[in-house]
Amino acid sequence: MNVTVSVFAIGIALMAPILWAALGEVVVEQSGVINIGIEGVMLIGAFCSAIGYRYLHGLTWGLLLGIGGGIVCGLVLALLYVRLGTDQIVTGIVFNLLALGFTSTLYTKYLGGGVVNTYHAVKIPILGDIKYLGEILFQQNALVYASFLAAPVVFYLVHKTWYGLYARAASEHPRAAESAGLNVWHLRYPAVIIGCTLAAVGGATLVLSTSGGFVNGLTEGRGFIALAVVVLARWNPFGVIAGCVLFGVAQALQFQAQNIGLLSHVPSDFVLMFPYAVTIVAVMVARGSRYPAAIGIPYRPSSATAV
Amino acid sequence: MSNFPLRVKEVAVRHESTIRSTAGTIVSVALTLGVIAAILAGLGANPWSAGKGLVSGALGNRFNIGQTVMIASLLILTGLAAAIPFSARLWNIGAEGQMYVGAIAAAGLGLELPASTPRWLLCSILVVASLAGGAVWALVPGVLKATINANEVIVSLMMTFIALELADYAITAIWPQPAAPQTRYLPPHAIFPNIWTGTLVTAGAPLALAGVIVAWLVMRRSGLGFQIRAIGLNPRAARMNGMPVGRVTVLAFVIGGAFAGLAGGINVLGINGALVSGFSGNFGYLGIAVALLARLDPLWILPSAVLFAILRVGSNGLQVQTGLSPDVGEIIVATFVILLLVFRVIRLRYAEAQSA
Amino acid sequence: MPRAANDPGAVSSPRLGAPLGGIELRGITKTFGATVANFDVDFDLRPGEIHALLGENGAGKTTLMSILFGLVAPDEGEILLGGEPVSFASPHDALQRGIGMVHQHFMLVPKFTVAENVVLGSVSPWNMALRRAAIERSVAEASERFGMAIHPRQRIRDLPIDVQQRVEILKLLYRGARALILDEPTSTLGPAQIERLFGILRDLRESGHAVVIVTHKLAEVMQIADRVTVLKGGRKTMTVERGSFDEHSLALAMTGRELQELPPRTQVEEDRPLLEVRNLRTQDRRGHDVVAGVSFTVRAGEILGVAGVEGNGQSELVETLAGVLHPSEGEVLVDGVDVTRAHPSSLHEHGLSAIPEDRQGWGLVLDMSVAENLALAGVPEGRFTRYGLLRRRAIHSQARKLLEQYDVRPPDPDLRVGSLSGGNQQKVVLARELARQPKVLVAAQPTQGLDVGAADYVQRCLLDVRERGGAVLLVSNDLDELLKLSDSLIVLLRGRVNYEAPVAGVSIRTLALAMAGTETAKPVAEVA
Repeated sequence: MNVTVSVFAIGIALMAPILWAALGEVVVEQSGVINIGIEGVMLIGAFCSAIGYRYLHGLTWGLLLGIGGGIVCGLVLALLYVRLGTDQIVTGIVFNLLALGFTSTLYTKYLGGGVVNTYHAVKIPILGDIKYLGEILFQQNALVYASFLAAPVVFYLVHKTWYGLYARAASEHPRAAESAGLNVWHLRYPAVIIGCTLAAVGGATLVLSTSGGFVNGLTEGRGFIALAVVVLARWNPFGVIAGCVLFGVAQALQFQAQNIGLLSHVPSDFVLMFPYAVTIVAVMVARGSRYPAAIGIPYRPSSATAV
Repeated sequence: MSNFPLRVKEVAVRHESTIRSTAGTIVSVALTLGVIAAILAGLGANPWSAGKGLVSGALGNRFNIGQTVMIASLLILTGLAAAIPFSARLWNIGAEGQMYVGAIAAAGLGLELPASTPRWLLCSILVVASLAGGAVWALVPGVLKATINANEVIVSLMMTFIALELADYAITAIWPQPAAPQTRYLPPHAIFPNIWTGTLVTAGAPLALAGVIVAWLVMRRSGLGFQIRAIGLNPRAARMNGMPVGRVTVLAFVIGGAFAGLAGGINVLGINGALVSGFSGNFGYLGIAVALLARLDPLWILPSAVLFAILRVGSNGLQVQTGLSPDVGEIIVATFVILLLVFRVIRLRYAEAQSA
Repeated sequence: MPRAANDPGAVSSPRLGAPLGGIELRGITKTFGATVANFDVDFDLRPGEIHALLGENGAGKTTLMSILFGLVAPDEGEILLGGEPVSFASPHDALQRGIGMVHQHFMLVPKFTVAENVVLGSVSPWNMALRRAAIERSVAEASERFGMAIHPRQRIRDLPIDVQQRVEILKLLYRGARALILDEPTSTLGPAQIERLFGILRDLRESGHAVVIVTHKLAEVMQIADRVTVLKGGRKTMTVERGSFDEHSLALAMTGRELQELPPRTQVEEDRPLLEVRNLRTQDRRGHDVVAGVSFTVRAGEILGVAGVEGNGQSELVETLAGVLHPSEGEVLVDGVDVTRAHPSSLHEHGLSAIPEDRQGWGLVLDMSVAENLALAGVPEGRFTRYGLLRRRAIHSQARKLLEQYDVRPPDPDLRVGSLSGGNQQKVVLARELARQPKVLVAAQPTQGLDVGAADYVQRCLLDVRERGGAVLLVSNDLDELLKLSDSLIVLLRGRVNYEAPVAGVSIRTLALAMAGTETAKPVAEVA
């Protein structure tokens, strides 16, 4: 088996969780909120999907519960970030702590290291037979395919709908949006909820597709990698796909390191560092990217808007 | 003498905002404890006996107090590691990784330096090594932030994951201890002496205290601290008035990293005697919570760290008393922090509405 | 008027809105904490008039208009539309009834196009599809109908200030506003743009719209207003029709005292150039020249005024001189020493001080105390530290001295500077910068937003620097101020010096043309 093809194929499989999370973050940031808690949301989504699979018996239930977990996170974070206007960075960090504590406590009690079945790879007819490309792209499972399909949906939402236009206005100049009669909070709530839901699906993908199980701290920084990918891709959902593929491949290297001449001499610990080092490089490369002007700043409406 | 009541009133007015915010914090803590009590009751535990279990687990006997002291020492240092950069609105989330690198430095040198070195010299060198390890590790997010305005949250977190792999490598490949997830033990004269019989308290504790004093001097009484605070409050005004924002940014990270590194060193030299895999129970991240509760003030970090240490150490006692899972302590800590944040914001909004 | 939910894009041509009856504010009182912003104020607006609301900074004009356009509810009094009492829940509500406001700081999203800004909020977010072409057509139509000459596809950040203002006006008209309130509309415009704006306002008046101009500038009121309402200290002093007021009666009603004159200026003998700028060139973030080869000299004992419509490079020029922006080309010399690209602390050392345009953004740390703000520049220089530790007593004693010298109220060094009034905050900035006895003072919009008393004080301080033999570069949107204080003037247009002359012989007309950049302006080096 061709090593490169294998690396890429595994890379595509591995990148799906990050892709979900990054797409979610695009929606969130394009409304003016930055969600550092994305890691915690992914973790909770993963955890819920594992519970769903185990106790409700089945992949579908697992996915549904994961989505449910994401929605709950979205509601909580929307309350904190938007309505209460807590400092988004600090709140996100603390939310990650909460998620870690929550999942590790309940993990020992309710999951105890059980293995979860995963979605099977579904080969797409015809396309799946293309040499090289077929194996890489078209022999993945449903969650991976869905993540690719989610990108144009996100693009449409952000750039081709009135909601998207208004939300982007709220991310650049919320006062202007308000003076035009828009309710900035009402624009940001759905963005946060959608974003968290997508991130949770990313977590569910980790359990139901990639790893086949839940362990403590499963996400291992993938949420933060998603944050970096979003900036690197300048909030373009299609660019996000490209960025995620890059990270997926970086992660995939660890599985084929022994077959790749140079890498076989590198100790495995250092190969595992690779995705994180690549993220730092990505951050450096993205130096020209400008965040939306009003991002991260909690918005205080000037007139008395109740909710 | 007839001026006395007037003088008291003057002082009270001047410090009104400090008094108000301290009172607010106390009320928030009380309310939060109340909510947690309710959660415990909801989980089927008696909040009162849970509380008793917590306190006795943390402070019930000499040994437990000693454990609390040592954990508090670590939390003081990671709290300072967060508080100092946070004062400049620089989000150093990488204290966990900086701690590991400090630990690696201390353990590595401790195992490699000649056995004939006198103890005081050896320990001092290892302390410096842990300071340096953490400081160097924090240079990366600091320099990147100062030069290209890289998102320090992401960078410092990535550095943490890299540090974890580095620690694993040190444990498995460089100084392995057979059949144990740790390095070899350091020679006895490379580690801290015990300073309180009947407990495990070592020289690490007074080091942490010294750290508080140093941090206070820097943040409240030095020119550097003044500039750090100014940059945190208004970076544009700071630059326009001649402050070297880039240099101060790097310095803030380096100092923070050094504190975190010291925490790692204390763990190796003062608690475990070796670099143990996963030695940190998320102390780096907890330090953030400690710093926030203390409003980033070095002096308030002391009681804040003690509080969190009690919660941590006492959770065993709590589990025994209530029969709940041992990880419930983690949930309590995390809920604690989130609720505090929420109350802080509510208070701020209330104050704003009052003054508007 | 709700739109059809399935109307794709739901953009039709702009509404004309219901015909406007009279608008009346009766007996309005509004208090904020301890301050009475408006007390028993009456104000009425007829369709087809331009009504000026005149008053000093802090007289209550903005509060009154905030009530009118729906941002704030009055404590007492009522709002009547066509004789019917109404109350507005929000500015959106007021806009639905035909009342809209153009703010001093534009509510436009810089990244978006004109069309996107105009239609912002006009349609419910639940309408799915955004049809760009239909929107742009609709906005182009509106622009034509109201004579605005705006291209719907241009991005706001690429447009000059006066065009942006027209977009703001178009936005309101597109949503069917019949009464427009303009808050200090001319503060950033040059004479030519002001004329064009007045032309548009006159057209609006002809078509039956009502316009309120909130201003503190007497000359403009004289030029354009059909009626004037004057506010002083939160109360209405008078409402008069065109023909029954002049500048003096208005000034009296506005301030309670006659127009003030500044003390006469002495001629300073020294000729030494203290600030020399040669071929200075600075780029913005996208690589365009914002300062495009500027050269000038300010000598000892001279005030050089920089005039120009906002957005022509003045802010960037000041930031470059203050050491915050780095020029790509050119030189800056202070008293003969090359300080190009020097760090602000080095500039201070060489005798250059800057008073920034936005005192809260650039000049002060609001959450720090007055004493700390006064020492803000001294600490990095090492003036208040010994062995790295702060000399707090020294900081305090300097603070006390300066507070007294500059009559800052209240004179409490530990007070949070954010709680001081605008005028006192500016005094703190002045005190800090002038305490250094600078050779060169660069002052940007130093009296903006200040009441007459504070503005007067600031202007005297600038003259003081001049008397002592320093050089002052005064950048200001206020032409009157420039003419009053400067010895010579230059005009900036698109980052270049377009005109240069001593103040004595300058004619407003030539200045106006130079600021507008029309062909007939006299070239540099020809004195008017």
